[in-house]
Amino acid sequence: MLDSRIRLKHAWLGGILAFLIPGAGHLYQGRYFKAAVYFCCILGLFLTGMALAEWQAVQAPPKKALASGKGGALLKYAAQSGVGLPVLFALVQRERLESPENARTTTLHSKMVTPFTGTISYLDESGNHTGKVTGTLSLAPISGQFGNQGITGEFTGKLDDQAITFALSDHVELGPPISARKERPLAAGLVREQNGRKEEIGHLYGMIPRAFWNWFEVPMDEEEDEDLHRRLGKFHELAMVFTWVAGLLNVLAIWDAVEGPAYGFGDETLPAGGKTPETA
Amino acid sequence: MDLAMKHCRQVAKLPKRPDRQRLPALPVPKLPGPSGLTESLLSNFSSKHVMNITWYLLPLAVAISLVWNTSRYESTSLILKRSGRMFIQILIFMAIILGVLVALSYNM
Repeated sequence: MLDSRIRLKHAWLGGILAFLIPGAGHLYQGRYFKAAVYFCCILGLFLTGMALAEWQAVQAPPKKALASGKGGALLKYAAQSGVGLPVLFALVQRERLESPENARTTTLHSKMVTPFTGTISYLDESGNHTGKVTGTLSLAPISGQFGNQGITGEFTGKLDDQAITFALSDHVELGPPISARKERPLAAGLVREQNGRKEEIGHLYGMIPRAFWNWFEVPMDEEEDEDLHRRLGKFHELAMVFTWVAGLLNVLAIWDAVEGPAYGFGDETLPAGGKTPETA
Repeated sequence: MDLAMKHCRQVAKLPKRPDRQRLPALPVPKLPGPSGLTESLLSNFSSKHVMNITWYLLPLAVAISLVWNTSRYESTSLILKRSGRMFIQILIFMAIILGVLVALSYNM
């Protein structure tokens, strides 16, 4: 029976809050020490695991996971899902990844200035030039003469320690905005204006950084998954253990928020012959 | 016909497959010594890495004992007392398991 000194308020609401954010249910119930312990320990374990796995530990299972023989992914996610909101976000990311809008793009909504790393290849009066470049891309949307949309811009960077600047053609192509990779592929033509006409003289291919919300908890494909395993080795398994343990521990916290602690204050008097928790 | 001839010419220009005997010998893997397994077990505690994987056991054990006992009791002092005891029990248990593994792998 629940100790009368423990006030759970609306226990079901406490349980929901405890599920969504570890410790939030206990905070609502005014059990501040418990809220702090659950928040720090469970979220601490979860975030440590995420950091160890380069923030890729949580992967929403594919739809129809059991039918496609990926029951293991479902189990892993089920264990992590006890942490609540931080893990449920992976479902949103899965939907965003599979959305038809998440495709290679040749249009932009606004101007973009971004660092770039990749390779360049162009031809000028002094011959062919090819090499690795780093620099900055300034991209901007453009409307063609027939109303078609495109992306153009300018690249400024260094090739073999020499500063270079090139205008980009009107057909810059970007990889899909949502992916588990932290970098987004980009391909562009390089143009030069000669006799009032734009002439394509080469190509630029490489990567620009992807926004955090566009790769965080996005499901990886098999190649990306294998790459992560290869890079992290046993630390990947450790990271997964941390996130699973965090999820399973929050089940205890949710139970505590709904039903109260298993033993109470430890000073309860029990029927003759019974043991107090202190002596158990 | 022309395409087929072009393809044949391209194939003919391909470099010959290198002679197998001329390939450099693969490096011979270093086999573990008489106490290789014991060493590998103990190396978890003396790695050159900044943060050895074994040390992650400590925060994990702290978190598990704290959360478990917080879900059992309501009194702060009792939670802390029981958590400390459970943490030490976990460490002793893990140390015993390590000792058994080291003993079983002695001279392997």
